[in-house]
Amino acid sequence: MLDRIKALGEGAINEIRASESRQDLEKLRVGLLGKKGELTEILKGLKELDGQMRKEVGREANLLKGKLTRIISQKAEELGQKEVGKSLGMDTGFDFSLPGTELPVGALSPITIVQREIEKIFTGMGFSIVDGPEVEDDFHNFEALNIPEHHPARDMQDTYWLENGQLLRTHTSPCQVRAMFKYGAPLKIIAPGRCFRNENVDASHENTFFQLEGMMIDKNISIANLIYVMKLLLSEVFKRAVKIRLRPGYFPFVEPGFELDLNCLICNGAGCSTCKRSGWIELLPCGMVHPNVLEYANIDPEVYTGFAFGLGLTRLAMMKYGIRDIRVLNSGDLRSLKQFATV
Amino acid sequence: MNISLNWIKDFVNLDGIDVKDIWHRFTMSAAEVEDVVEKGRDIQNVVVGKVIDVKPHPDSKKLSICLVDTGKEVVQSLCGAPNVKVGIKVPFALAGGSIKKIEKIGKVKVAGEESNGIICSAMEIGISDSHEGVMILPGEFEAGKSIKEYLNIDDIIIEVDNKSITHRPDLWGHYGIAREMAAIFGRRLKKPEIDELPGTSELPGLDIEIRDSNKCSRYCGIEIRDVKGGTTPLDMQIRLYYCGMRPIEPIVDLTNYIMLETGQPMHAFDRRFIEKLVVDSTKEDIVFNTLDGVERKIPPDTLMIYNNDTPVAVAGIMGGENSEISENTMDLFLESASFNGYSTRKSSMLLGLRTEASARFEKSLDPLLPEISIKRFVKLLKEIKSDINITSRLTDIFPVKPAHIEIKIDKPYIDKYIGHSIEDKKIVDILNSLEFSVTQNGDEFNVKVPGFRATRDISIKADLVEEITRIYGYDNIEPETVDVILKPLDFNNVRLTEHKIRDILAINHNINEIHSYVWYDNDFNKRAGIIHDARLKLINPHAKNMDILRNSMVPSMLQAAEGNARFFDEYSIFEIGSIFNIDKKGGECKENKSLCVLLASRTLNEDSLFYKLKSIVSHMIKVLKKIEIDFSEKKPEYVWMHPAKSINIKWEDNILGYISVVHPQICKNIDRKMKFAVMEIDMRKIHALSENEILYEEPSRYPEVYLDFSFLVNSDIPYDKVNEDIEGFKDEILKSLKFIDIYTGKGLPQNKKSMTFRFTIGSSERTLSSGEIDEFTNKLLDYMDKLGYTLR
Repeated sequence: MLDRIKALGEGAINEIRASESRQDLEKLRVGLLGKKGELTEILKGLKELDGQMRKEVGREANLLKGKLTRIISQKAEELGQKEVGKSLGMDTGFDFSLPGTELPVGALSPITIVQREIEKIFTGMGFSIVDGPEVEDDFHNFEALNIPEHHPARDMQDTYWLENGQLLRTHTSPCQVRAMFKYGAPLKIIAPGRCFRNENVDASHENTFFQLEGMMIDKNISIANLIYVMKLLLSEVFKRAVKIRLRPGYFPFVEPGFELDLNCLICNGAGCSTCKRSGWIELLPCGMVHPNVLEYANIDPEVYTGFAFGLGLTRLAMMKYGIRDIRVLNSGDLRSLKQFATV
Repeated sequence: MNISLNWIKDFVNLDGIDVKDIWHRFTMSAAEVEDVVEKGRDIQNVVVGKVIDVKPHPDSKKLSICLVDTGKEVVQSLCGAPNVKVGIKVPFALAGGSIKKIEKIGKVKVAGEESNGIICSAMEIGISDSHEGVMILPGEFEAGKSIKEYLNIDDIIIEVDNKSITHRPDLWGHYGIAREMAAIFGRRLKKPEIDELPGTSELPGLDIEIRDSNKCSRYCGIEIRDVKGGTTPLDMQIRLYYCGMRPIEPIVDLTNYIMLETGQPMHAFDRRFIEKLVVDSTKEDIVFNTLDGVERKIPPDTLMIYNNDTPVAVAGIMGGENSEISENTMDLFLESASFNGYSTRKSSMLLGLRTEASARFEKSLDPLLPEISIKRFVKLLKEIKSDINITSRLTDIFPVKPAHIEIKIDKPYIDKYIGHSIEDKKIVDILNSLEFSVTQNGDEFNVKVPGFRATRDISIKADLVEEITRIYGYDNIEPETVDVILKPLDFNNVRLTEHKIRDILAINHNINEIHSYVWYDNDFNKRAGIIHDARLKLINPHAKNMDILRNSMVPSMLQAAEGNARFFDEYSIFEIGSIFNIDKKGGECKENKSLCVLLASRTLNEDSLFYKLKSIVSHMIKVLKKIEIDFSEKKPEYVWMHPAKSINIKWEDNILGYISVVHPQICKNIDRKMKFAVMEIDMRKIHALSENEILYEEPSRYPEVYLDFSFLVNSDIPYDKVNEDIEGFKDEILKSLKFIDIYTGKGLPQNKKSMTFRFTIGSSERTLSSGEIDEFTNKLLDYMDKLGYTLR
């Protein structure tokens, strides 16, 4: 019996050492140490032996069991390492340069992208965002902005009139009026939105475009403040220091009214085709809120002053992305618009 | 408006100032200059030539062979104009010179004859657009001298943006511009020379009556006899032409010239047709022929000029055919009046007739101008024709005198408004240079506004701040940060939600945002077979087929889809846009934002697009509000909805919007192979949904068991019904229930489909025993069996 154990042991150890895979090794283990394994059978048969014999065979068999268990686990470890090593090899067919699974992303309108950026800048400076309707009435679009009926300034805005006497807003300025009525002073708001003017459409003119109106009213707001805030805004928008200049511009709802010119970012003022050789780009109309406009909204112009400005979002988006034809923006043409995949 | 620098120089000496600087400073302090054109630069080497011989060309009927004395030599030149004659003086462009359209004049041979230099028309030397033969120069011009010695062809013409002077009636003439220049450069302003009409005050007055003094505050008239004859001086013609007016005949030219100079429009009636001049408004519609030969219907409340009861002019806008001057006119009734700006503009809009005169009157002109303008007219007319006779006194009916405006403004106000201190003396100097008179008392300035700025332009303190700062120079104001009270307003959650939706749709679902127009394209709708019930119409659409504001986003989206169908097999678009409704015709517009998503595919079938939209909207609202929306049956409301494949999107009892496969007929009309499905959601409903709270639950410490069962279901039973039935099964250990999939392929009994559901069971107190699991299974299958669903 002891010889049998010894032979079993030698044979088993050789086979274990020679095994080349974890499956082979497992087969061996089951054959030896499993429920019906050879060594297990021997151990099971111990109770049939007597005295001294049982003691000796028992000891040998248990020793062998310990030894085999140890060798198998060593071998298992060794084979495991070999397998990991093998999986790191070059012959697995792995090609890291194959493209990943495509997860397409939709595009946002360039207007949305620019609008959000400016909303972010202004909310960061404590401005609130307000909205207003696209179909407006005469009062909010003109009257309360110091443009009474038969005022020649109405010519500046080719208005779409509706059969019910209302109109498509020609600017986002009515949002100022609504905000002043709703919140009173002090006030810091911006109002981005779609505007309409009955113009002939060509590469640089649209009848439907986006503006962003801004307004700040408080005690002590001055022209110097207006210049400061505009400069800050434009530096943030263009992500660089900018040079600006103000010159007179006429808008009935501000006094004084300004046209703000931006030193051309392409040529730094030297003169190029973008700025029509002038070195300056006419960018945004602005001005000090006309005392009549404050009064209309029941804000005392002797106590409060303010400034307002209108930024052409469409124009800004075109500048930012070098869009030459304004018609692209309302075309719904995905060949153009798909390029503005979400950022 | 075109401004001639030569003309400006009549009133202000700008010597020593660079032309560029003139217009830069003007732009920075007064109004926008749109363009600067150097006139005469392209006219070089043009001299006075004398035609000394004209012979017909042997081979050409049109051409003649001329000999021209250029002062230095006699050259042969061919000429095609019929008015070329021996003895006339002409502008003659020498070889090597340049004229309009010919940059360099060379020697040429035409039909075998040599031509050396060109006999020019006025058009060719750039001072007219009429091409009526060669220009015949006055006999006293000396042959050989440069044409520029006699004619002010060289000039700088500046185009001022009319919009930027809408509020400045004083800038609608050269004199007003010159006044700004004088203030900007600190130069002296010369007044235009006028005729003081000596000895006319004793003459009889004209019979003038103003019946509507609300619309006409002043009317000046004068009678001038023997005006026939005389010609408009060439330099005056050139100025008129350079400023955009066509010279016609001396009286008309002169009224135009005065208008361009002072800003005051005038009108000359033929004296024969005016007996008693009446200024009054129409009481009813009348028909009137204006001098442009158009018969016009004049609405009530239009200010007219009458001769007794007969209308002879639309006041401030255009004269009538019945009283206009002609070549037979000997004597004039010259009008120079102040018409109300608002009423002139209103009439001009109602008539659809804008003229140079109405454009000026509507700005509210200085009521002192009419008198000065008549005196200026007489002065210049006498230069043209010295033997005219003034046969009436200057009759001046002035019922409404202008109010004098005085504004009190103090230094602290000015400093506060500007945010920068300007010294007192500078303030006073600037105001004085603009002809405001100022008296100072300590910190307070008492400012008198000159009449030409007092009609509408300047009335309050802020107006004065503008005057001071624009001349002071905005560049001289240092930017300064703001110092304000913080007052938070409502946070704009609507905007936040809109931006979130855009992100979800674009980032998660690969849908592209587009922008479309708010009006329907009726042509597209017709082509696609779209019928709608929108009723809000534009009065003045830019195109006839775009006159209705949309009441659904879907047609706009389908139109965008049509455009893209040519380039893509599969695409998705969305927009959050406005839609418009009215309750009844003439009622107020009800506007709200609507989200529309459109999926398009040539490869997927319409059902897949439909299901995809269901997943998208469920996902979107789950992300936004943490709620699981429902769907319910929908009856198609619009022609583009599929009669069977459309559903409402629902949360509790609220319908948020709908999803529909686009009606196959409409799909076909748009693209033969494309399938479309749309979803339209009322954004107000989204904003109104309250966001669900997160209710945290401790995970069970005992394992849960998943049981998947596939049931055979009659084909005609919808998922909703099956789901509802299964949800009727209640058991203490059932944690959740989920639909896995549907199978309709081979191996099923006829008219059956197989639907698989997953039941998650478990207990928070113990691990379930196999007995408990078996018991659950038996109970469930019994329940389902009774309802007619057998296990597959």
